[in-house]
Amino acid sequence: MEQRYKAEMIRVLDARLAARSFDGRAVLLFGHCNATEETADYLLSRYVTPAAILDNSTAKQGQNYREIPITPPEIVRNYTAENSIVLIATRFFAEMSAQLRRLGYDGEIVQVVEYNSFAEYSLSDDTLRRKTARMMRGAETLKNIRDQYPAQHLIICPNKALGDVYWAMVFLPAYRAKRGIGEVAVVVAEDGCRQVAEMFGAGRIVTLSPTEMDEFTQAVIYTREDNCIFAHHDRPYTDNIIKYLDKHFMSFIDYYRFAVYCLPRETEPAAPANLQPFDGGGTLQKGHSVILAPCAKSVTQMPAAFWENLAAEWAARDTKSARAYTAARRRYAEPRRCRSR
Amino acid sequence: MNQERLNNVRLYWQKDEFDNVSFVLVFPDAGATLNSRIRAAFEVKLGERRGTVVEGRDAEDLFALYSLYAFTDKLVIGSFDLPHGRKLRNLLDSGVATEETLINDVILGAM
Repeated sequence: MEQRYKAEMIRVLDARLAARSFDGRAVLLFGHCNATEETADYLLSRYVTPAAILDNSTAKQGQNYREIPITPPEIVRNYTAENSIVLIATRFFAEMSAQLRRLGYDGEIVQVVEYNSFAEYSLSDDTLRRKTARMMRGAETLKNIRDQYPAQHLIICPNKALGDVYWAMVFLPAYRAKRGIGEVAVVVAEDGCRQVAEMFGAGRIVTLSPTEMDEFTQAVIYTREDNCIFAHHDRPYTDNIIKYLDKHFMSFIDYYRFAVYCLPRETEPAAPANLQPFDGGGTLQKGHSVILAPCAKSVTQMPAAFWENLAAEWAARDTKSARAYTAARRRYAEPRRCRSR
Repeated sequence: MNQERLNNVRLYWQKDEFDNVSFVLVFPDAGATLNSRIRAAFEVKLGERRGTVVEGRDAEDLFALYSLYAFTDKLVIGSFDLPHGRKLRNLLDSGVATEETLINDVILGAM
């Protein structure tokens, strides 16, 4: 969970705790993901034990997180508005709250973090006014980008996620060749994504804040801006192609190859062309080091023991000098070396 | 779309009580050859649930409002290419999926 979202989550939960919103009520969390786990962690640290985590995935139902059972959403039918409250920390708040209403739940549903400004199931004056203003701000950003890059094909990477940008970039050369596209400008959210684009030699990069990116994306949809592509697997909301994966298997790399860029099967991903030499930081030994990255914001965390065991497994393969290194912020405040055996 | 037209779309949605149906199928391109096939599959999938189909100018208006933000989860947009940003045709053109699969599993995938 990004730090700014975590700060927002804590703000919302602290306000609810101060208002005693959870007293005498079953607290239900909807959607088992990393953000929900962090919400549960925070509640537990404040002596509030959630009654259940609701999740649509049958694979998760029956499991638990910190002894909180993961159950089908249908159990909300056992609760009333008086004796329960639902917290949603995922970016699908609008869809998930609508699902609970369809199930007949009439209790309070709280949006713990607002990630998704694209969906709001309301046609109130206030909503229409805010959404129109939001799109207009995006249109201004689009105009500014077009002032700078009037003819370049815009490669829009709408999500602040390094891996998403990586996959968008590996097939970009093939996409340009197939479509006969000359110059491009890559539009990304924040500096980390810019650095990924630079690894692939992108020269024209526009870096927006996540909020600006959402507004810009909306303006591109609304104005039907031509000469661009959303180089992403599940954004914007108007592209429901991700539903294909509900019933059919496709690897992530094929998803970008076929669904995002429509490239021939034989297309090979390009390697980053602009990598800087890495000296090992003075400690990493070439051929004897494994870097573990035990953090992904969109999925639930693996237990720390999983990573420790993995480090031990690698060390066992090279008993003389193997080392495993981690670079995650959550469980390992500073990058550290996990020496095993 | 100006504010007045936005208001008209809202009134249309509320007047026709779309809130009381499960799904609203909208065709952004009235002349698309796929429309009749999508409509037939929609009716099969609908089963006992209530649904409705919107075409023509009303469809364009709903479609434009949906391009401003996702104001409902009931809208089913009957197109491989629209709204702007949809890349469904890529799976067809790259030989990964058939039209029937895309209609049933993606366009109507939420049903």
